[in-house]
Amino acid sequence: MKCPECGWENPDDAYECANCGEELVEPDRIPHPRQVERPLALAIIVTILCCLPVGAFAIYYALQVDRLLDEGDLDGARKMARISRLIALAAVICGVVFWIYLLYSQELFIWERV
Amino acid sequence: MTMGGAGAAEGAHAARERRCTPRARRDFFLVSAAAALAAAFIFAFDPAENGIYPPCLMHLLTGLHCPGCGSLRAIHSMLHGRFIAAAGFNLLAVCLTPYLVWEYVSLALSAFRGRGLPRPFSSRAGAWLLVGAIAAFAIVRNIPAYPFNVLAP
Repeated sequence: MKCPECGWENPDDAYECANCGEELVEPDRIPHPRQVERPLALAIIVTILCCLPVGAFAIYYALQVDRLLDEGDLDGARKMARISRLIALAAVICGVVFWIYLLYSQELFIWERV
Repeated sequence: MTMGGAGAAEGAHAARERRCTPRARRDFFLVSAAAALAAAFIFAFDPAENGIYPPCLMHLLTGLHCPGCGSLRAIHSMLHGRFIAAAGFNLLAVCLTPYLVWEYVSLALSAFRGRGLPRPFSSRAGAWLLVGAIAAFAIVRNIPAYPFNVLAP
């Protein structure tokens, strides 16, 4: 693909000209990659497994990532991804601690049902 | 060509190369190992009939079913190939499983090929669809009347 700006010959799947940095595809037609990782799968796993409604917040912040990327706010998107990941990891850690506590406390842990 | 141009080109190159790294591959193997361990555990121990699993805090405190209640039983059923039973335990978990598989395939491709798959739920409409589906599921499964309580675990 020839760059319309400087005439440099780029690979067909290039997003930007390797010579002058000109965008070779319309920004809204770039399918992938988006520059910021979106921790949505982690947020959904937390919502489905940890059973705490905090997962909903992790999903909300994860969904903001692509919205802000579409608006060109790279720093905002990174921030949202970080908040989402933090909430999800905190929920996972709380869940594991709670589980270990139950395993040792024997209070709610009902082996008889096995 | 200016210095700034060279820097931008190098930056763009780095941005495209970054994903196909040892770090991406390490992430892929960590996720694979965690998923395999969790799947083996849930496959072996039926959440419906033994108490190794923690109870849902929300259900314990309020008696309500949260959107995740029944998901362990649903995953156990799916791992044993009983998809209709799984849908009866937690329809949301069954519906979102294809998305999680999609993300896993995307992670594998970005680790080894350098580029993943397009992201679902990126548009405003897609995001609202996901949030709306989870919210509606959370409300509807707590209505204690016939057509709705089918969604309760």
